[in-house]
Amino acid sequence: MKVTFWFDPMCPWAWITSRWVLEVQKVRDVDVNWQVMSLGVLNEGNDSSPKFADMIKRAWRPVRVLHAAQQLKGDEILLPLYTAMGNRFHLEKQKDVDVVIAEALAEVGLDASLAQAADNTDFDDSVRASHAAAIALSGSGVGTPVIAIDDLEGNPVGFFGPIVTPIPRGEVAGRLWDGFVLVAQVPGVVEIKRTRLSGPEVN
Amino acid sequence: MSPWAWTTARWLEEVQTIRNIKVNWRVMCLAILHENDETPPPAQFQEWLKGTWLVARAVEAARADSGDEAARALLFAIGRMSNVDRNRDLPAVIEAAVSECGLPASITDAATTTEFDAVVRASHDAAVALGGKDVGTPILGIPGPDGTAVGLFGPVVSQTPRGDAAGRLWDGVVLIAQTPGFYELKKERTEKVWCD
Repeated sequence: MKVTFWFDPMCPWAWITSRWVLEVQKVRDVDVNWQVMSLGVLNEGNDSSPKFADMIKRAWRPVRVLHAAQQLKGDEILLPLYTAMGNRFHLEKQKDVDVVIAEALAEVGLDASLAQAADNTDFDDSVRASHAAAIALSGSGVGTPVIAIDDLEGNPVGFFGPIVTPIPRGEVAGRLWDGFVLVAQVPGVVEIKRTRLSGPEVN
Repeated sequence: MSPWAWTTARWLEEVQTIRNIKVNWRVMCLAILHENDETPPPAQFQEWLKGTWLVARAVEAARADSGDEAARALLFAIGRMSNVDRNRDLPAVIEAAVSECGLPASITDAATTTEFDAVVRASHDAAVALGGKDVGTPILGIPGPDGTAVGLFGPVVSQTPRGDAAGRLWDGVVLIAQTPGFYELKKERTEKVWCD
């Protein structure tokens, strides 16, 4: 089954869901097309606190680098670069975006000069276009990640989530996938939710 | 009284005909859900919310008088008159539904007293204890990963799935509920809710 997965590399919940999808690939036949979306775009106009506003501004930077790499190397570079960034953001708790970008580029064998894309707003229109493709399916008022599959008529359907913690592994991951597919393919389904009782466990 | 709870309730009725499940129908109360809103709802909505107490009390009065099946029948009769027939006169709806279900008129009277408020609150609180505070109605309590009940808000559906689609949605919801730590799957509600 073909899946499109839109992520922002700084979101810990998207990280968990992305690692779940990788687990799913071990136990189900799933072909993932990775794409970027942007916490910066999602939270435009939300200036609830200076700290949050600063986080949103910083969130643009790794996404621009991912997008620049994608334009240079194609979609296939997105997962390894996301993984290299995510390991540093979420597992190593590296707060310095410049360090994350530089180390991640080196790890996947990309030229260090790609880091300059972090502050290059020339990429913003096409980042916005990638983001908009996700929101066109999930609707607005949701978050990252957005995950899309085809319904039984072959039309794409997209949802925010599934939000889950910890990362489901093995057959548990497979069963959540089966459940997601069954639910997503029923016309008219908009939401299943429970109150989050714990924060994201990223490993 | 929630049209979104109505479409989900109708779906569960459908699922009962194609999967081996037995639903224990319990009330929540929208008025209780909105009691602690940070910004109080608009005056007109507050007035309507008060009416949700009448419904929940009537259903619990029916349960006390005639049992769970009577409570279920009354709940669905009120839901149909409110959401499908779009009758907005709640006291009239309750009276007509009590009569349709062959229940004593004392149940209509009980809706205007506080006799069943504690029972309504206990029922509502049991749902919120499973599904959490920041969600809405309906809440489904279904067996979770370790066999104890897991509460889920939803599945919120803008139209009631029927037949095979209803069964597939049920199968999917069970798989999701049995995933430890599942919290959310959501899209924007772009379609109006359709009650039938």
